[in-house]
Amino acid sequence: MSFLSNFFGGKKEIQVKGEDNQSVAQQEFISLATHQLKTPLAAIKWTLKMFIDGDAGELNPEQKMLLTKSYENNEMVIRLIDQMMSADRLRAGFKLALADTDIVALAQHEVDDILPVAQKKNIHIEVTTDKAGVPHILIDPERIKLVIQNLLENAIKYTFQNGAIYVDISKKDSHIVISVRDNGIGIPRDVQKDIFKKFFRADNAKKVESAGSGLGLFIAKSIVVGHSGDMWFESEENRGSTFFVSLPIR
Amino acid sequence: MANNILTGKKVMWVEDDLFLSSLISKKFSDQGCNLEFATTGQAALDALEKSTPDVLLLDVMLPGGVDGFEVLKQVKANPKLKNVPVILFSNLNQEEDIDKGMKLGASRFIIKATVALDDIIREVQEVVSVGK
Repeated sequence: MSFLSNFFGGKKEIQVKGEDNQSVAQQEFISLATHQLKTPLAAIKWTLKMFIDGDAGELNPEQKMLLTKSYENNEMVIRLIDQMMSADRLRAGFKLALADTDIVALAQHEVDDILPVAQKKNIHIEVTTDKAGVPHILIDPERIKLVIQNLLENAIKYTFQNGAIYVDISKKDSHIVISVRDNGIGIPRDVQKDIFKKFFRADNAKKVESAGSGLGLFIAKSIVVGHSGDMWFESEENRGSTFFVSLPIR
Repeated sequence: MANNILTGKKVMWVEDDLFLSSLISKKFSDQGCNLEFATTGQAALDALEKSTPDVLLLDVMLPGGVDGFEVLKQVKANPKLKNVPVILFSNLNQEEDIDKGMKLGASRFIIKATVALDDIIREVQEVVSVGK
């Protein structure tokens, strides 16, 4: 959490209304259910990591590979639970803790964080911004961080080896527009209308990576709309996609 | 045995899941800590009456009617214990729970399922070196 103090000043909160009035009891039930699911998963995570790190004795390569695969699958389940809970919480309404934020620094930080993942596929990531400078904006930095993370993760996931991703942050009239462009698999025209729906994944995406919740873009768009912003994309199958996030300057 | 900031430090770990405690125990003993365990909030408060740890690692969901938040509240209200850094652990990650923990004076709120044991060691090292 400490790095964010470099990005923002004072905070203020706003409440974003949800689609339905989820009762406190329902929210508590979902929170407890999430807790009960994640507790044994934490135990599995810690145990597998100890094996992989050699804390319980040396492993042969096959053992290490099998345990690493188990660890990765366990991580996927933990992530899926978190995403399902996030999606449910968004539906019920959520608070934004707005802070004056250097959005360029935030985006660069997320790119720096994910660079090792991109480098495994030899994918080049470039960040550009307005030469005249981009003003700070009032956003919930933790939530917008999730939006940028999601777009970068998708871009890397669905771009082939030696591909390229271009991130741009620019001022357009009264908004800041963040775009993430890749030269990956793209989205087939007939399913583009469904891309922001909960649990939706295009068939060509499933072929590249079979696991995935289909919740990432739903959550990202909900966060952006909660900021009174907008999110859209342009895409051509086998040519790549560009996702845009527009946030009001305030 | 690693000779680092945690060597010789007294760490109290309050957790009702004995298996998780056994995993943590191995990691912390590799750091040269003196690790003390409690499995309920009341047992933790009783132990804290007798000795003051250098850092308190506290699960939020504890059986027996005294949860981690209550232990934290009492620790921060006790002149003898109020400066002991407290790290809360949970798999609850509602913002309200995290806010509550931080407002009660926790130094950190860690979601167990999202961190590795080595990350916990690093957080504890940081908290002990800074003193909060």
